[in-house]
Amino acid sequence: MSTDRSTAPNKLSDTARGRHATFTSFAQPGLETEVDFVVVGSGAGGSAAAVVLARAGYRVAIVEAGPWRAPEDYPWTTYGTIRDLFPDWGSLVTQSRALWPIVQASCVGGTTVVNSAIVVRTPGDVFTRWEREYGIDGRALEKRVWEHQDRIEQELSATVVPPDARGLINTLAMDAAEKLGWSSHYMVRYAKDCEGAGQCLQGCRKGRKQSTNVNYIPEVLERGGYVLSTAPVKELLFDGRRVIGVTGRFQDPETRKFGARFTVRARKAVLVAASATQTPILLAKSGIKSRPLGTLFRAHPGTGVFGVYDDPVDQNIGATQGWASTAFRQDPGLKLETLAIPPEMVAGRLPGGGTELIRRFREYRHVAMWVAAVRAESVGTVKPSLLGGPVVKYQLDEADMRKLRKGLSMVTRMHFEAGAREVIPGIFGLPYKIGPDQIHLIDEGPTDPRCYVAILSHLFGGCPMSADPRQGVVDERGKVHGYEGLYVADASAIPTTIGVNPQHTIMALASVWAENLVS
Amino acid sequence: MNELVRFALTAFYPRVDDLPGLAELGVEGKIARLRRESTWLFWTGIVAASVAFQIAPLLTIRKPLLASWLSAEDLDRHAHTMATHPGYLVRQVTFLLKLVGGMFWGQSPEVRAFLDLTPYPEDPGTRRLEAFVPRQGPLPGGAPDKLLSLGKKERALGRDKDRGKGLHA
Ligand SMILES: Cc1cc2nc3c(=O)[nH]c(=O)nc-3n(C[C@H](O)[C@H](O)[C@H](O)COP(=O)(O)OP(=O)(O)OC[C@H]3O[C@@H](n4cnc5c(N)ncnc54)[C@H](O)[C@@H]3O)c2cc1C
Ligand code: SF4
Repeated sequence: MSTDRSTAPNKLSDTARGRHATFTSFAQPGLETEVDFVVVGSGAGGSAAAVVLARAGYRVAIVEAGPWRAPEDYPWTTYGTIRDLFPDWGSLVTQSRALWPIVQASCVGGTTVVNSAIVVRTPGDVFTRWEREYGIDGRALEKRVWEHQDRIEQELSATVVPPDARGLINTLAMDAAEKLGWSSHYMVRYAKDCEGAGQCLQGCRKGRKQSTNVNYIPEVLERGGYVLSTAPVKELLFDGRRVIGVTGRFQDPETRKFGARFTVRARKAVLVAASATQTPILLAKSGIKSRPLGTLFRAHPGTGVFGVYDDPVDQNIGATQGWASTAFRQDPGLKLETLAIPPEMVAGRLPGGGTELIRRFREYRHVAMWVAAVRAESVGTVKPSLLGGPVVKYQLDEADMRKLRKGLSMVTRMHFEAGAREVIPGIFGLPYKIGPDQIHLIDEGPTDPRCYVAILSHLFGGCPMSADPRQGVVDERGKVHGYEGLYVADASAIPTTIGVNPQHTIMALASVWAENLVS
Repeated sequence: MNELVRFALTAFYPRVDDLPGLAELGVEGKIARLRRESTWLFWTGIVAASVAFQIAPLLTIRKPLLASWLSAEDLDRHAHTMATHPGYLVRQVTFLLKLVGGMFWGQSPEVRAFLDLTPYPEDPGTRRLEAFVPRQGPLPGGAPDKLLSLGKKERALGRDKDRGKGLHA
């Protein structure tokens, strides 16, 4: 992109290959262009939709708030991750009784850059529920979602974590599940030849994890599309009830100061895929009138316990997440997983402070973290704050808290089966460590969410899909009720939790909706 | 302001035996950098938490003193009690201090050496500015020996036969 000082806005020329435009200096002129489709947000949903549109021969512009970081740009440390990959230094939390962090990324590739790339197909009962409760033609959608999931699995190398990449944190979990007779598996992930570097959460510097910034988004460029990075969309542009484009100002990712204006017009449609926390906000700030906007926000909140083993586990060696059980998805409504976190995060996560905290930390090499994520039924809201950011009101009700507690007691049991000497439950009010005969303390533990340090990483809703405009913001084609040329293509359209890791579902749904637009 | 933050963070991560404390690990530079690089909201949160740490000894160890006037032993007790306090807000304030202090301390080469880990290289902080960014394939490399020997055991147990059971819940 040109950086000359002329005041006339730049036009992105129609070159054979597309172009990436980003903030480079405050002196740069604005940018104006017109394409067939504008996609706002380049995460799981946005990139999947964009590549389908680009493959059909349309000119697509992806407009992404965050910077484009390739594997060589990824940070090594947690500090760097929060600084370089998270929006607003990861400061978004639920504003309810408990302040649980909401973890998302803001960069080209969205949260796929920092996630574990776990792939699970959308279970059939999800479509049945959508049909029953939201008037969607579940069977038709199911067929098409699964077809796209077949394709995406091929394209993004969905493979089982190879034996040489597992690490003890994952194999111990398999030992435990086998002893307990629980059905479980090594995960399938979008990763090519994973070598177990254990850095998925900072971005895979080895380029093994197939986050969408290394595949689908460059493909959109190859096919003549455009990517605007460091370009947060401020509002949608309208012609009556028809959405005709987006606008905003480039933002310097370091100083966070706003620079030149960009305006991208869409000849056919705008697809918003800015995530479950941001899509409802962008629509609300743009003046979209829809009663259910910002409602039915849901999540799979999760937290874990540390097993303490006699021999070192070295959780940071091996795949970040490699083992899971979905056997308890229906009853009681849980997913159990392993999750390796780096030393600096363990240092902040262990209970206590001062010399006691340091003494506790000395066991780092001997601890393994296993987590439970709840398929929660609780619902919340996402609304814009006075400053324009999202305010998420969400908390687990008593029934969901019981599930969380049950999940923690299950992974605690697993640790003891695998040979752990003790378990650190990390639940307020419980002893720092418990032994095998104290698991009941977790079963009888508090159901007050403030006693748990949980996070929200699987988010749903805010622009829920329903055939009824009084219940949903979008219809079963992802189109916003009452407006032309405006679609949602991310997790915000999903009206329920699904009980499995959502990226595969989000990508396939977004693909189906994009495909509708080209057929 | 930086000194206030430094005081709180170092109280949570003191030296214990052979493990150096945050105070010995160039914390001043790290705080200055955090102030420069983080958002206004994040930095304000850290400063507010550090102020709370100063004035909370009455709440934690029943001493009507500022934290910086406490003896080393009382300060240590104050830090631990704040982190395990029955008041949720007190614990949350502490969580923020521990998060930042934990990053500074746990990322340091000294602590990583203690854990038998190589030092982290510098975070590049770079991004793509070019007009065309190509697709990227895997870089060369392989799993470390430790993982390879575990992999052998997994194969011996027949655990390499799972052809993607996890794909279907
Ligand atoms: C740590 C972690 C691990 C996870 N692991 C897994 C896993 O292993 N498997 C799995 O299935 N799921 C996983 N998830 C969840 C999964 O990554 C998300 O559900 C998924 O990425 C959501 O897709 P999305 O398209 O809705 O949003 P995102 O992927 O979050 O993308 C949204 C994008 O929109 C951009 N944006 C926001 N506002 C604007 C704006 N105004 N203008 C322009 N752009 C904007 C954002 O910067 C962001 O890049 C994980 C999540 C986290 C946090
Ligand atoms: S475990 Fe390591 S090599 Fe494997 S995908 Fe994650 S970061 Fe990449």
